[in-house]
Amino acid sequence: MTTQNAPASMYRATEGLGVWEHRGKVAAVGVGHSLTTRRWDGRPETTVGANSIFALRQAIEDAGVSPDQIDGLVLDPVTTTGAHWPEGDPIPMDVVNAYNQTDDPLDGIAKLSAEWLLKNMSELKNVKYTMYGQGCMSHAIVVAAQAVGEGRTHTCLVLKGWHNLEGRYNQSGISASDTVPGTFALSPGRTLWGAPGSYGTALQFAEYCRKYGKSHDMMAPFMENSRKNGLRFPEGYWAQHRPEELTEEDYLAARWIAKPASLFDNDIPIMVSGAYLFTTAERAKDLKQKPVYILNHASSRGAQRSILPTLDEVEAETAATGRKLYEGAGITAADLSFENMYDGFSLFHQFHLEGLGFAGIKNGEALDFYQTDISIEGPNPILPSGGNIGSGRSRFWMHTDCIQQLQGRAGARQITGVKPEIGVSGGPMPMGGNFTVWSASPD
Amino acid sequence: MTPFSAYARFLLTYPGNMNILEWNKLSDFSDFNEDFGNYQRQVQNMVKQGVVPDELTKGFFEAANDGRLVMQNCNACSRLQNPPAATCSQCKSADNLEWKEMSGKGKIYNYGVVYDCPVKLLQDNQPFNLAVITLDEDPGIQMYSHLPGTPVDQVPVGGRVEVLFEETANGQMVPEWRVVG
Repeated sequence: MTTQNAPASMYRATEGLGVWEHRGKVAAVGVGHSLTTRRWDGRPETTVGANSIFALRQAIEDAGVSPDQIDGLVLDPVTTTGAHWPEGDPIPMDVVNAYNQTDDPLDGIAKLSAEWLLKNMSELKNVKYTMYGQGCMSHAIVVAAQAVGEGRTHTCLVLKGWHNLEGRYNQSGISASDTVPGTFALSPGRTLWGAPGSYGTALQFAEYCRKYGKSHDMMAPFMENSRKNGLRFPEGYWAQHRPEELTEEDYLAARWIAKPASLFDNDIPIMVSGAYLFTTAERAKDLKQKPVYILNHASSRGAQRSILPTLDEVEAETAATGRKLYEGAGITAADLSFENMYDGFSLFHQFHLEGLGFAGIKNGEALDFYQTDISIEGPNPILPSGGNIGSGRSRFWMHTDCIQQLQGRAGARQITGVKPEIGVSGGPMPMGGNFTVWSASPD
Repeated sequence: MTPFSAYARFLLTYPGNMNILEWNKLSDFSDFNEDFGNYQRQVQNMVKQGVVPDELTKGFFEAANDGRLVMQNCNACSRLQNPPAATCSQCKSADNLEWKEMSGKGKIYNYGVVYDCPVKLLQDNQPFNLAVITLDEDPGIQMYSHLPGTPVDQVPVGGRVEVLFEETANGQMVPEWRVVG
């Protein structure tokens, strides 16, 4: 079985598409996660492949379906956090040989194919539909939702796994080279000028602060709230390994990475895998967990004019994303009980919020909004998941939390200030990502 | 305080009969030391990674070696673009792209200060400014700059800049920008 990248037609990337034709007809019913680690320790049982098998089996068990009933698998085959297998380094054959192999010995170690998973999960006998939603879990979710809605798969696993290797973030490979190709030198990303990953977001934030008269220290309540919620997420990295509150003093004293982005404004790269089980709303009614219905998915495909998106470009794109989400879901901003948009880098979360018009906030108002009650006990819960600032970079805590909040099983994170009825999650970037509207009810 | 005013204070209060390094240790000139260190880092040439031009960027880097700044321009759309691409980002055609010479004048649109640079060759220069310049010919077109000569975190957003050309590790010249006026 050869797995393809999902075609563009599976993503709802433009405005004017109307209400999603499968609104309320696809449901999430199972959730699974592996343990988190900062980096791979070299053992066969802790590879991204092993973690992913664990997460998938957990999601299957959580949903209460039999593995032979599963007929679909959607995942992101790219698992890097920024770490790539060093060229010329020997591949650990004891690890490779611990599993059934594909043609690529790094499969299951530094990448992950559907083929590798199916070779190593013999219980998945009836998977006929596989597809890649390349990017992150947000991509895989919308592809799986669309596939179930279209009837391509009936009971579908959705997966995202991450590997992280030794070495500092993005400092190997071309960053350590004495020369770079011309195209790379002029590219918008890491380039000849040495921009860290958070540099672009830092500049958008700087422009935002200049335009609206805001400052970096106004982020502190958001950061404290995110870590607090993250510590209530037992599956997350900080809860499992470093159960430390983040105080305003900690945040303001943190070293800069790309000023005005500091250390804590960057989510910590980790190893973890997460999985969900999607099925039709009809079938979901009889399963173990309360179904969480998908009202819509929408995608952002913003293109900046030159090297870095300007504030105007970012604000236009996030506003369009908000309109697409509401149009397809048939709801308005007032219908959102909470939000779980991506936050890793923290300094762009306000763009997502303002684009949504969450709690009525407009452009330039989010940092003032952060000074109000944004906790799970308050009227406007912001990132009850704690996001990736609160639990490490998986880019899926937000989705897990939406599902668990609407099922009423978010544990210590359970929202109490409002009744959780509709939530939104997605990412990663304001200029490009995929977003999902989740609901406790199909209507 | 600029490094020069701190330096003037340092010299004016130096008693003359003491080893200058001892005086530096005993006196509270930490601001001078820090500012001057930052200043030195900015005025010294930050040697960037060498560049190996490829098909797409050959015209850009050849012009840089001649001391000229060029941008890709679509003749059909009369529209500049950067970074260079195989096709015009507007009409999607590859047939009408050419390199057009720029005046080398622009403005500082925005900046950040890099403290944790992924590029090994630049790490000794941290912290350093990393600014985005917009070109006078089209303010929608941006370029990066370390703003050589501008003290760290003292970047005049909106300030005028002009292009200069700097040698990278393998001798390839690349455009940089300095504050003027």
